[in-house]
Amino acid sequence: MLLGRYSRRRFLKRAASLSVSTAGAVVLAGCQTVSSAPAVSGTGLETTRLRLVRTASMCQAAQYVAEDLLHEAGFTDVAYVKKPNPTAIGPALASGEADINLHFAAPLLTQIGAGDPVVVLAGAHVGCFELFGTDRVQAIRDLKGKPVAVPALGSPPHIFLASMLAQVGLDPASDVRWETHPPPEAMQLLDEGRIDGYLGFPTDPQELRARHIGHAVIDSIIDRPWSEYFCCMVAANSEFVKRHPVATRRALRAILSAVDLTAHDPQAAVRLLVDRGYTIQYDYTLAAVHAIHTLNWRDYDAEDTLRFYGLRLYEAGMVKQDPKQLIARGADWQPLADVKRELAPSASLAFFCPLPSHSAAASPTTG
Amino acid sequence: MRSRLIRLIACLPLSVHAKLLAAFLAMVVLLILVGAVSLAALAEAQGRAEDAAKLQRKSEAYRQLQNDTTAELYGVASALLTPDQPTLEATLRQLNQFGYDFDHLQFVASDEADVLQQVQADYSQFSQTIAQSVALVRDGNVPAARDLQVTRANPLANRLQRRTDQLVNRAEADMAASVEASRSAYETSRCLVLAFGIGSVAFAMSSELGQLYGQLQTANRHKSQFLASMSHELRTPLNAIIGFADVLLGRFFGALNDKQVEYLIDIGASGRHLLALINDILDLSKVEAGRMDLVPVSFSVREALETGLTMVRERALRDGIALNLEVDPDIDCIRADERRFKQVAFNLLTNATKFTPSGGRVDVTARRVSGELRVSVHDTGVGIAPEDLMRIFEEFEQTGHVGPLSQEGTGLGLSVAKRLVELHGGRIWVESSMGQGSTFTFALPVAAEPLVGVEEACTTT
Repeated sequence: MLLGRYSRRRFLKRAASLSVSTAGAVVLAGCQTVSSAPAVSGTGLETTRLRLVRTASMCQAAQYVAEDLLHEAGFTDVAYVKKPNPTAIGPALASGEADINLHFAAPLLTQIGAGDPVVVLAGAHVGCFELFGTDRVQAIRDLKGKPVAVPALGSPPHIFLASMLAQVGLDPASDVRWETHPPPEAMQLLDEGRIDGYLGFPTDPQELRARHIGHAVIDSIIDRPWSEYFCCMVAANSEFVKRHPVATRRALRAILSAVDLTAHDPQAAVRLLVDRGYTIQYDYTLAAVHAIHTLNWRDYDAEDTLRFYGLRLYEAGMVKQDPKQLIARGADWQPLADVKRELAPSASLAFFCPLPSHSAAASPTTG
Repeated sequence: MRSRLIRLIACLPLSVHAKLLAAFLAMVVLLILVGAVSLAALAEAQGRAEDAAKLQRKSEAYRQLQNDTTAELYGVASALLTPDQPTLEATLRQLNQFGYDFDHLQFVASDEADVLQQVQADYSQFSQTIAQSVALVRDGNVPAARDLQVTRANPLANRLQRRTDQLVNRAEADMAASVEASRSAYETSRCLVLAFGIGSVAFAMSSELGQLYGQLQTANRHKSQFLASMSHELRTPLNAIIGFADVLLGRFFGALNDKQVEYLIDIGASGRHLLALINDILDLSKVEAGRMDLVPVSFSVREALETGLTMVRERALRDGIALNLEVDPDIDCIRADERRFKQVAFNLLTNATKFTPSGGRVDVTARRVSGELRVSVHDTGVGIAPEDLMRIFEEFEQTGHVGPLSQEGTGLGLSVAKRLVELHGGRIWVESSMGQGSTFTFALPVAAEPLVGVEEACTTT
């Protein structure tokens, strides 16, 4: 597959340099020289086959960027199973159709509460969704009694919005009028004022902002408390994790390395996504990736994220178990603990390693 | 199912009263159990309520710390805008408040020492940064103070806020877990109580129990009626038969030939045997029905045993069996049902003389052993096989010995004796081996029960 101007070799060099686990001069040296691929652990992979989900949502951009890193980690058969929307990620993980994937924190908790065989491994990035509203909505409480669009009940936007409503004391089951519309239709209805609220994931907020539709009531990247917690987390099928601990660790490491890489060089990452056909909207995607990946995932606590959203969902009655039970049932931090030791803090790298220069014309912007 | 239940209960070797009492006690135990479970659940709920209060205090302390962090940043921002002395002093004073918050935090969150250490480290850095900012403002270096605020104070405040958010979330999650545990315990207790209640009501109102109770009542009534009527209806004609046989044998109405004499003797003996059988059955029934009332009186042990020996002396003399009585000198009187005491002794003596061959001996002893009065009847008779030792105390069971001697008895004597001894709170047993004779012993408590064995001066004989 052609990668365009950002060659696979240079990409892997950059990724390799991000994986060096020392500070200071060694980091600097890693930026200047061609380092080898990340050291592979002594034991071999239990499986070289890995399945992830592919949707149009750019929240999961890092896992698409991770494709080459996964190959370098030893996975020879990496496939992205196409699904229509992010709502399908959860069922794919539960059924084993996907082995590992980035998915949203709140829907993951409802799955864990329902007993699905899904386990959360780490947090990927903080904030991505934005709640847009008409002029009639200046705060979340103003949604009371008004129509709000979601792709489907039980979809990630519905669950996130329900947790936000519970946060301010509203009852998600009765205090808003839920209407189900696909995202393009929902954005149109918001523009026409026929719905008052819409919670969008990248690149919907970027598009709404560009088209001057509604205004951002809540930006989870900036507004507390949501800006303090992960939006997207790395989750996997429980059976896969149990049977393939080494593969799980390597896949997690590759994905988190890709998160670092995307944060460090968002233009290159978006270029990769466009070149490989994951998106056709360069500008919106770049804006989204810039926003999502400004904060370092190492500074946030994955378990606290589950605890926070677990409390909100418990208060909203959307899960029956309390947060401690959910975490005990659906979280495994051991792979992350192992991987963290191997991954260098990318913040220091961003300071030392200059970005590679891109050649020739700007990429076409579509959408 | 119903008849099986009835048969099962009927098979139990207990009186009707005992069975009904057992059922009542079972209900009482169930109620106590329900109460105990409820109390335990309440105690658990109380514990959780106290934990929830502690967690609430923790959350408040964390939030106060967050509020004061924000206030501190606001203070510095104000100082940057209006760098006058009162504003700067107010900002520094706010740092003290911050210190109080942290002290309070250490007090209420003493079980989270590791996290508090991190909070303390962040708080120290934050305080130093704020103090530096204030110093810079005082020195007139506002741009440097602003820069310090943005590059260090704000990120530190964010980190402090994030840590305290984590602590608050943890406390709230603990509270949610506590609420969930309480709800679970409540539902379990509710199910238990409902199950007990429904089960008890259903059981009490069930037709099986109702019919069972009715049948028990009917059986008990029949038994009482039997005791009442048989006592008169059976004995009266038997006494007449025996009496008339004796009168005829006395030749009050003329001479008799040998055959007539023989038949009259047989009639008398059979009548007496039947009367003894009826008496034993009635006694047994009375004991089982709980209608056997003991009449405790003080009486002389020696005299009661001598009476028993007198009753068997004629047979013993006829068979050449020596009788001997030995009573401990320190045993004088006891308090018990004298008639029943004599009945038991007589039964044992009768058996002893019956199964002792000519030339043998029967020794009766009465001793005090470990707070009991023990009366032993030892014979030099044929002995009892080991397999018969327990069986002989059951109704209609006799030793395996076959012959005219065994045919004499009703098979109820020893079971009646056992019941009578047990009614007194005592016990009866036998030691024997084939060809070595037997020793039947019954023991009555002499100290524990005021009914029996309380030694006092003999008032009756």
